[in-house]
Amino acid sequence: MAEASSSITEKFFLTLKSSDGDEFVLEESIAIQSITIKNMVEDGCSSSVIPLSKVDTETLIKVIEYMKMHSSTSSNEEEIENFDKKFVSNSINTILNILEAANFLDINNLLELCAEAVANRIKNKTPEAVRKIFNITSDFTPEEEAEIRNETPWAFEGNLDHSLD
Amino acid sequence: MCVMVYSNWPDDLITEILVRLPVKSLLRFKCVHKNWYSLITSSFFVRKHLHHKENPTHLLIPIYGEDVISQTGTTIYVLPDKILSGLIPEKPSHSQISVQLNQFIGRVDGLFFLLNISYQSHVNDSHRMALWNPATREFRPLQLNLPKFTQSYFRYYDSVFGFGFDPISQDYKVVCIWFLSDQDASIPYVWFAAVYSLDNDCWKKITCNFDADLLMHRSIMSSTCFNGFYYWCANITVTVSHNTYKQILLIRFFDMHNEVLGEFSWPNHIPAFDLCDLTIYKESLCLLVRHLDLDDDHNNNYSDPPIDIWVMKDERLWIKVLNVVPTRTELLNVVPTISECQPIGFWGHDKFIFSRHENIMLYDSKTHEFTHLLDKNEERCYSSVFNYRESLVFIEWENVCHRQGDVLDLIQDFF
Repeated sequence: MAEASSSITEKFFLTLKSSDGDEFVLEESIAIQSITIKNMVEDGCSSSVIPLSKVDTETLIKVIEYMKMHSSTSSNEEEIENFDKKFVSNSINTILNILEAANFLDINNLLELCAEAVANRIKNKTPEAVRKIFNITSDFTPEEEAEIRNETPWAFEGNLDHSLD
Repeated sequence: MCVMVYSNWPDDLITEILVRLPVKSLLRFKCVHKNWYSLITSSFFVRKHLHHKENPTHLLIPIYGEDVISQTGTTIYVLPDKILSGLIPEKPSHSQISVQLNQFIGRVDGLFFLLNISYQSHVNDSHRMALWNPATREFRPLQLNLPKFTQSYFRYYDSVFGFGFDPISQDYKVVCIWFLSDQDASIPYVWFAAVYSLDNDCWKKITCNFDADLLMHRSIMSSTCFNGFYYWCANITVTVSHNTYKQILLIRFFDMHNEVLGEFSWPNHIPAFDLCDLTIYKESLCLLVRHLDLDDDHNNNYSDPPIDIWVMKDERLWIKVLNVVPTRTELLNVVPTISECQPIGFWGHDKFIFSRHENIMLYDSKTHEFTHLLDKNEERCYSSVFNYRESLVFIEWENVCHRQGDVLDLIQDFF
């Protein structure tokens, strides 16, 4: 009897390990929002620690926070909406890191949330600010760049945002 | 602190961000990096951006003859992407072109086909055609050189113009059909048709086997491009016997990919009234039929809707759509007679748009509310509304360089 009832309420836990070596224990039902983790579980890798070599500790904490909120049956729509709003007010570099992790972990709604947030943040920015944010070095010659700018000079007019966040 | 390596991100992750940006930002970000440039200008990206769910759809209403001074211009109103029924939207942004355009055929992937015909002169002198992408501010005049095709047929009697997208070859095309005669009308009128391909930048003559009928009149009532086909209603007069004629309606079409013209008979269960509009409703070809004859006839059942909506399913099967238009009683609260209500299209699946003498109104079939959308001069909206989305579709040719100056001035100069 006792055995039967405990198997109904039994929760499975997974251990996720960040690239910095920190380990996080998480309910399996929450963690499998990540298709990557779900596939690992189905392939039988869940008994040991799941190494996430592409996700650092700071980012993994955020991702877990997100997954907990979005799987919890107690959180209502309004709570989730408020959480998401606050979540995307993180620094743009944090969001980019989460976006990269969401892509690796294959968590589609998190990826969409972050991509939308980044798009909103950068849409009024200058190309220079975008390069700095994305850590990109231009590979155009000054002449080539001038030519592209000259194709649609109006796209470079107006009150553009130079800030890096 | 780890070093950010976003520059090594895979293209599909960069695409996830870029696809959510407005056209103006994308044109600016082409110069960020060569990789971004080739992404943004790739046809894969252009299509993905156009159809992305975050690319808002706007309601666009063209009004002709709005220029207060000249009484000629064409004004294109763009309404906010969120229209709440019962709430008059903010004054919509608009572009005013100081020329009278006969037709403003659009809604194909954010591109518009602008047309101006003078009914007096020679075909080559009288037609001005151009493509316009308002989001990228590209404008491309289309040259038409008819004598290359025909020497003797010059006077033109009637014409049909269509613009659409060929989904198979991913090319935009313009189809023109004329009903022509020679200078002194000594030879019978003939049909003449040509198609223009944006990719090849040239016109090609095509076969047109429509019945050439001298008594044909006013062939265009309305038209629309849908799924690689351009459709229009044709109203023709056929000879039943000597001195006896009959008006019949047809739906004619142009297959954008195979470049062939065709026609099919009017669905016989749909009454052919004077006022039928072809448009698109719920991703289907749609006929809007207004029942004018019932206006003053008190014997008619008032519960009959004043306007019927028919959509064409596969196999040319037409199905009536119910409960989208206002009832006769509801409509008579806002117009003195049913004939003043001119249906001009839909917004979403449940909102119906029509014009009255002095303004354009929206009817929400969910809440049964009417919302005033736009003031206008009397009776000058004779076009459908468009559902417009910004698009990056590239239309300019390298040798047609119109980068300098305001695109609206360019349009005005050209027309």
